[in-house]
Amino acid sequence: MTMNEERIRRSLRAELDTVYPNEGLRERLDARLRGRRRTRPTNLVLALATAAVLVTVAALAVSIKPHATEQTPAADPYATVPTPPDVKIIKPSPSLPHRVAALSGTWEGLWDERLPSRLTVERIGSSSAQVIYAYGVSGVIQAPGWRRLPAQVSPSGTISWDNSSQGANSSGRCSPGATRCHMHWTFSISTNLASIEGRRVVSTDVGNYINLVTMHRAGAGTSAPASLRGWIVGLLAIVGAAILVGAGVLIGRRGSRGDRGASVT
Amino acid sequence: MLTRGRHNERLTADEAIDALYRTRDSDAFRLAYLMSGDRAVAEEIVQEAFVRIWQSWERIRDADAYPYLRATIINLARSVLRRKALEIRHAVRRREDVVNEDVTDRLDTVRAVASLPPRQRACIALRFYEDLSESQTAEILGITVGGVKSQTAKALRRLAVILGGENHDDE
Repeated sequence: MTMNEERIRRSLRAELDTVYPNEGLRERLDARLRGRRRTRPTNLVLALATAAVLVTVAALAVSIKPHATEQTPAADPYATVPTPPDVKIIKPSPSLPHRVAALSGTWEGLWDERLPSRLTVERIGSSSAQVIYAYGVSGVIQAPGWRRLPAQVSPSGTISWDNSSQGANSSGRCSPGATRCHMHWTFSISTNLASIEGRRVVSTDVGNYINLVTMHRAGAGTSAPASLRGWIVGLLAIVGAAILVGAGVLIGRRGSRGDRGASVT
Repeated sequence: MLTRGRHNERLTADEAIDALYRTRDSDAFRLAYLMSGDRAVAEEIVQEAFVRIWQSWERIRDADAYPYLRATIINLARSVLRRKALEIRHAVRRREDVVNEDVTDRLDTVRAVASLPPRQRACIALRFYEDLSESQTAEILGITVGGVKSQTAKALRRLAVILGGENHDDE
């Protein structure tokens, strides 16, 4: 060794004693601190923690809702709707317009939010169809029933029929006192093909009225299925966990004494 | 401990940084300069180290802040050197040429230290400029005392060769 430790020590001190930081260093440091004050990590951690709590609450809300409905002994609203024993749904031709073909199958809904009914489109073509229209019990209608009917089809995805195809005794289902009764049913498929909007127009010699229904595919329900809810809960849980981990990492970085491995840019 | 003298109250982060900068700015800068061998990089390191102390002040407020500042500077400098941030060096070297080239020309030992590998550089800076013990140096660098001894010995051999005018590579 040609130079001892003491010589190195003295040389370093002597040389570095002539070195000073530039005058502008303090100003640049102050400027950086001013910028950091606007986004203090403490505030960021609080924001992340708040976000994590909100996501957790949302996940709980989504998961609890179906559980609550399961606890309510709500009977199947379509239990009173009769099902014919010989229902046979024929697959529509591939040449049919998409919106027309989508009408095929079984749909369920509540007329005016009360009367349960089911529409089964057994066979459908470009201009005609065969449907089974069934209804259950609600209010003044205490006798369920069903009919297999011919119907008209429009290319826009609408299916319709009237009571002229139901035989002669349909007038009794209209208003009390009416001697003339004409009923026309129309069902149009929605834009996303997930539901059909139905309307029944009743024209009598004592007055006219309209009933409305939104039908969904049988078994689909109107709320998110359990599997979808599971995905939503899982996704929210992952997001919440990611936020919590992010907050933890941030806190950890603040707490790492000496800031090993940090970068200067 | 950084406190307001008369009332012995704890300082806020801003007050602590102000006090620390006023008393230790040159020490911090010289250590960063010894580690980086570059004025502009040293200034960046010092700024970043002060910012990190400011951010962590809630946690370290009862401690003597300079050891924390020293450890932060060493680790930041080692990080910079490890990354071999050439773009930063090129950019700041131009400024350095303008700033203080008459001074740096005289810093033979400092320039010799700047040619050492990062860990050897840190050992020399902490042992012979900061006058820390081998165990204190080992703690800051996260290595064993034996590692400090070994790295210091290598560094001293190499400095002897460089400052003696020879060309030798024992790495």
